[in-house]
Amino acid sequence: MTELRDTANFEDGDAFYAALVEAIDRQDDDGAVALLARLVLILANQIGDRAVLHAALDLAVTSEPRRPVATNPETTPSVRRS
Amino acid sequence: MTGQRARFGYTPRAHTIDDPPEQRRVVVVGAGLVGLTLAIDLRRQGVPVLLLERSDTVSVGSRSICQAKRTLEIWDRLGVGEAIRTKGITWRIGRVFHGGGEVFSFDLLPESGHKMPAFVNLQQYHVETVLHARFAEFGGEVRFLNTLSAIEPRDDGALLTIDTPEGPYRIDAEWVVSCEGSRSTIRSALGLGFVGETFEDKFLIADVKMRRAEFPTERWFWFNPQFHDGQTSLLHRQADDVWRIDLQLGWDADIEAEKHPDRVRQRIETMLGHGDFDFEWLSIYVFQCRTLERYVHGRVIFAGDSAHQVSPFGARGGNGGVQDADNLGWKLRRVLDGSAPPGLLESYNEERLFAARENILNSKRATDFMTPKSKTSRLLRDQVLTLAVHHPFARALVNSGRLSLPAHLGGSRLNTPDDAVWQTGRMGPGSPAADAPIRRGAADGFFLDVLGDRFVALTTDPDAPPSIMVGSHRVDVVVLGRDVTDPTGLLSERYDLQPGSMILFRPDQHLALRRRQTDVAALRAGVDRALGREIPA
Repeated sequence: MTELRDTANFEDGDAFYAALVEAIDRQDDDGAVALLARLVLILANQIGDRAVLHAALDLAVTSEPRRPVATNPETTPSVRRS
Repeated sequence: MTGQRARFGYTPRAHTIDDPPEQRRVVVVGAGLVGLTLAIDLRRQGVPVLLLERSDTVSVGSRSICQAKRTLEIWDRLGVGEAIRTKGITWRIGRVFHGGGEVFSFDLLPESGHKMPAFVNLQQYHVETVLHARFAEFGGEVRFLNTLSAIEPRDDGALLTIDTPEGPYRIDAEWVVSCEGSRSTIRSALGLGFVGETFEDKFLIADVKMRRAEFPTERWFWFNPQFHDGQTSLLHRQADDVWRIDLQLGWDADIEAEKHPDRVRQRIETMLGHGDFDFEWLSIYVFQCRTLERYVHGRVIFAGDSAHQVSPFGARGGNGGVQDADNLGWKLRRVLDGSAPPGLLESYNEERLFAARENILNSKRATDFMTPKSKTSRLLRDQVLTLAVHHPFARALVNSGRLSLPAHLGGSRLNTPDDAVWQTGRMGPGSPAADAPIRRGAADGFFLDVLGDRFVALTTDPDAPPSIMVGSHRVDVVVLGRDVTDPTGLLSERYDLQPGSMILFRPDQHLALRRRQTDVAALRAGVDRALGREIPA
């Protein structure tokens, strides 16, 4: 596998989606984010391929819905150029 | 508060500011790890080198402690590898904790058959003491309490003004190497700026002398320990029962309050579970990950922290600097004696910039893993640690510092590209040579000792000549089976040696060329290329 698939590859997409929602809804917000984070890490290792992983990340970043720009103090960079 | 350190005397100056400048071929400024390593290497090759040092002692306080395998190999080439290894603490196991529990441990050198271990921990002041003694054995000259205060670079050298307790004098040097550390006077005088980042997180560093030792000789790293909530902590043993403790304090720590000895003592007592220790050093630091854009500016060359700086996590500062010196020594000597073109020094610039950028990348990634910048990236990091307890795949992502490994200079213009496939993993042209056990006559030894610091061709061809000359450069030919044998088979395995195979090594023990059939013409061309003849000056 060297290219990111853009067509459905699920054996049963509806069942996976339902199971994912059910798992998330058993958590509070932080717990749900943590669960998604673990899932991303597990799946990323399963994929392994560097190009596919970066293509997937790019797709996720560029698919972000448009929204007003807000400054989140928690994401203020802690680095400065010297 | 600091431990025992050698003190050196000031030698009255021979010149005053009114005298004509003293003429020198090479002046190395700064007698730290890097300056000393370079000065020894030049001196033992017969290059007249003067070492200037602003203090009258070895380094003060908490500096480098983890001396990596490649660095130890370089010092072994200079004759002090065993002295440093014996004085230091050999270790190879790292252990990572998260909250109250252990996540996993790792072994930094899982394979045998290397002369030098993965790491030896030894305080920089001890290493410098050993290096000073070695430089003195070669008759090397260090001028203590000699502070460079001004430099006027020219096309064919530089005029240096040196301040001493008796007043200033001048030196006219053909070549100047700045090994002055992060606060380089020469760098400022030349108006050279860095590219990179300063990190805002503050860290407390303490070297403590334990009155009772109860931790094993391992590197222990904590994420979110119960004794230091929400931060990272590091515990690492040095020589003389001194332990390095590193505590992350965060962005907005109150430096004055945090470095009060009572406050620090309380923190460390909580960490160790007892108060049976004395402070040897205590300071708070922030760090930079940055580099000059060039290391060679005419006749002025930069090495070590003077050229580039990294975070301490990964031990890439001192080790990177010593590897700069290793890369520069053989090149500068050959350019000085006219046997190699000036373009060879451009390869120092290219190769060590590549290495510094790799070190900076690793250092920055480790820092980002240790100090997540947002709530969500911290949460992601903590999930990596959670998974790593039971799932080996996640351990690959845990980054408590990717500990110093030498750069593979695969893109160097000194390399001759392969014309065949070799089963040597990552090692190829431009890589540092792998060590392996060998036997010479009846004596057991190691392959890196065979390489030493000259061009060497290793071949399996029994008809190869004992040496060849390429211009004025002698290449010693080492025939496997005739000059050395391979009692464990590891040499043949690590280099994928087949009947006829030939490998050319540079004087800094890096691969320059390899061929499946021994071929003297190819060897000559490979030596020429490794001398920088393809690089325009």
